[in-house]
Amino acid sequence: MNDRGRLIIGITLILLVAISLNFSYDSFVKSEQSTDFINKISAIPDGSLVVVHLALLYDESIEIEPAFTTLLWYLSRKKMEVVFIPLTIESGFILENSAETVRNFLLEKEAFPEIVSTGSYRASSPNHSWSICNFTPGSLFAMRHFSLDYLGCYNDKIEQLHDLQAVFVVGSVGFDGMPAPMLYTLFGQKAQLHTPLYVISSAQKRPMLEPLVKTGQIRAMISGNYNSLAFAAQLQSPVDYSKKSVAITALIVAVIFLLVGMMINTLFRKKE
Amino acid sequence: MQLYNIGVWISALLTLIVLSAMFRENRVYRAVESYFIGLSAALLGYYLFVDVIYMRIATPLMSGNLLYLIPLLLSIPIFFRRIPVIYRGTPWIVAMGIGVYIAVVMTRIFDGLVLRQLALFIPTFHTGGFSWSDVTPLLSGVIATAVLFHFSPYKKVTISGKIFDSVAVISMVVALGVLLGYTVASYIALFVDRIYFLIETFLKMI
Repeated sequence: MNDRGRLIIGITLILLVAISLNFSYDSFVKSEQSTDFINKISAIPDGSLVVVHLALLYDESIEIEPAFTTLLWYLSRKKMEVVFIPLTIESGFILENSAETVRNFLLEKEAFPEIVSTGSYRASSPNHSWSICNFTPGSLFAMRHFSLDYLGCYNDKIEQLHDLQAVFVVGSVGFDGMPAPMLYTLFGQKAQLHTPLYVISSAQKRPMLEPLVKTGQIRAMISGNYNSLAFAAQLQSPVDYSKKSVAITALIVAVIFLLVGMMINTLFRKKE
Repeated sequence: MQLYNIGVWISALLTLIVLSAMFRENRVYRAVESYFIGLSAALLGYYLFVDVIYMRIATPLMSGNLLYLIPLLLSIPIFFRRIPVIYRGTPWIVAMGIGVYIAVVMTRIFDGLVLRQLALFIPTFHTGGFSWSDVTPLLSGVIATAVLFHFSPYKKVTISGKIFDSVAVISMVVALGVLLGYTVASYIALFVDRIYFLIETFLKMI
């Protein structure tokens, strides 16, 4: 393809996204995965202690962001006590952005807890704040984090973990070809006395994680754009993702057309 | 607020420069690409230093835990590639690391991935709760691919070998196609997000 062809395709795609971003849908979106996830997380009692591992990179965070932001909003609404454990450098920034997004969309901004970087687990303060355990940046350390030093973050507060009701792993960055949720099931689950594991991951890792859902090692999972957007729509997230989902759908249709066109072009060339 | 605006301008400019590569690869694009790679490497280097050297080694040592001298001493030869006398010990250290890793990982993987999957499969097999039409493509794909990679004699193709090869190749092409589809979908989401940023945050058109 020459420069002009690429430019035309590029500008067409940009225009397509720009136009479709001005439309939003009103219809109710739902998926099997998101329905299952919602049913299962609704069994967690209000005010419980939960741990959220963040194994995010920027390139997959866009897929995961609607579900993650909605999850934050849900946890705050249920008055959960949350401990965040970032496993990658980017996770902290992505958490800040998502929390800021939720806060901006809430009428009562004080209702959303303040997120405090503690360095270790700290019991909830009277003003209902959430804590971040900043101790393992870098995806290379995900395995070690889960296997050998999983509880290191909690220092002398380990005894308080017996109330842990759920573990969430958000993102799929891992080690040695294994995504973080899989690493957790292999190395961390025993340490956490089989606390239910909930996963939000990218669609690319779904084939690897799906068997673990069937065996019950993962209680429920959301993966990919569609399920992420469906989760946000079904829980009636305060953030409106319908414009983005229209743009993504439009672009997928355009890309399918392009791919089919390229395939036909290749076939005809071969015949010539 | 002003700092935020400067950040938005820089982000928008960098986004536009990267998108300009759609037309033709240019020097400004290459400069920005190098900037991203350099920034990522610097950030990763910094975090590795803080996480490993400072938090994992220096902090426990300063608090009087001398056991951490062992990993510190073992890591030293790796940095002396130019001095063979010291560097000679490196393969032993790396081998030990890999050995410990495999010892830890193998048992967990066998327990978590193989045994639990079998435990799920065998009761279902006895109670008849699964259909062969679901299982056959999966089993044939796994067996054929395993045979192709591990048991095929080199350059000796038999009829049964050809059938196995075909099934294995089809299974792998389907798997790669699915993976590629998911990858394209994730890049589409990234592209939409960048355009959304340009239109919403930068140009404020929505």
